[in-house]
Amino acid sequence: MTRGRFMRYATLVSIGLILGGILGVVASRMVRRHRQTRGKPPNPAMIINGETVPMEEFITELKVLSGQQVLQHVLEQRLVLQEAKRQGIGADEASIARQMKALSPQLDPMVRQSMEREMRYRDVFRKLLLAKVSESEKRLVYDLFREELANYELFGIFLANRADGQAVMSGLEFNAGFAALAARYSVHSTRAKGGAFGYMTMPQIRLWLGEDAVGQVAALQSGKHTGPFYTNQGLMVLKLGAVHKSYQSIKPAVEELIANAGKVALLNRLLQEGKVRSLYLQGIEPEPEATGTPGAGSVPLDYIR
Amino acid sequence: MGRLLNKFSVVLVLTLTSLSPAQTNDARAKIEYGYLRATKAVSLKFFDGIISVRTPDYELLDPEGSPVSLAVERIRMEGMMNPAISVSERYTIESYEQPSASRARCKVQYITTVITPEPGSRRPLTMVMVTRCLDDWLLTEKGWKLARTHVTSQTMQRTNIRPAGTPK
Repeated sequence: MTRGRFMRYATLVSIGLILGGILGVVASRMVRRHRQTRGKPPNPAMIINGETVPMEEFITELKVLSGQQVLQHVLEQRLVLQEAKRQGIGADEASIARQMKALSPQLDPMVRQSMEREMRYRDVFRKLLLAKVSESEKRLVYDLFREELANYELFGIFLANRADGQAVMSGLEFNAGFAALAARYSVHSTRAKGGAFGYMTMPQIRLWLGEDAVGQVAALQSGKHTGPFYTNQGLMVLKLGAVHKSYQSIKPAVEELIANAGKVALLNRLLQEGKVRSLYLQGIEPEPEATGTPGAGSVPLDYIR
Repeated sequence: MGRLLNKFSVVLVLTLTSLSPAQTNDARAKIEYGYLRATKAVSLKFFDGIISVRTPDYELLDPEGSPVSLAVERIRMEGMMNPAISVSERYTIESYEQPSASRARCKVQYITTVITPEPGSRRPLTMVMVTRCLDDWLLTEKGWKLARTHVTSQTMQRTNIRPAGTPK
């Protein structure tokens, strides 16, 4: 071996040793860092006074507290989506895109995905439930329950006392404007929106404000208001805005009513026909009682109607 | 003259209070429409539709004559309707009396068929309820409304229940 060749060989070995050393140091640091972080959850669910709640703990708690319900919902959702696909029923993608666009962009991508799936599920479920409902059947439901399904746009001023009621009535007499009076006199959070409650049905008005309010609203004409009167929520003045009673305007509510009535039947059929395996569901769900209920025959029961 | 006036008033009162067959038929048709609405509301599981045929101060009495509140009735009805695969109801007016132009009493029998899924197997189970009531109807400014129901009897029949101990 010549001196020159030896020198080249020695240089290459030295460079190799130096590079190997550098790589070794880098690798050992990476391993040390990995060891340090391995014990910590990569994405803690919560940190309380410096104490970390790991994501795994959070997920386990969710499973214990509401896992059964969530899994049941996922099961129903998937069965409905599969059935819609089988029947060639698709979701209204344009509407879903609009709704998704309205969501905050800061939302977790997994949450967005879940919300999108839920929107798609609700849309196709409704379509499946209404697939065999004729227009005449919808018309019949509309004719029978038009008054209960009609939408009334309501505005209200919740009054602190009768004196404020007098002031509101005087203001209305002098065209002070309902919204301005609501902003000044209403003791309810809706004062910020000029007293607007939005659209309500008569059953909703009955439930929230009581029977007197139903009578008052039924007697009002659009654009007119009541005098001060007592409701379930206290003393108030109501104003009626637009009223939607036509078939086209309340058809979605008619369809909702018909669809809701058929939900259990469709889900029950899908659950009966579906092949579902889940260790988790089986592990949690108690086995149904082996009957023991009385056989056919007449029995007295708690009064229902 | 006084006697004549008395006779006249008796005739007038009788004329005003007695009902022509057309009036009776019209009232009965409107009351039947109320029953149709209520039974259709049951099949739609629409409790607000059921109560829409009633007066605001409607009174419901159980077979012992005790009043049942609307809140209790809502819980019971929704508890029966909501988990059901289907609910259907038929009514029969067994007797109809109209003592005045604004009041009517009906003896009614409802047959309510409720199909529910059996827990576990999800096999449909059928329950048939037979309810007999005395219903008082009132002519209000919103038309004929049900003012009072006295349930005189209610029984339930269950069908296709597996006897205890039989295999699933």
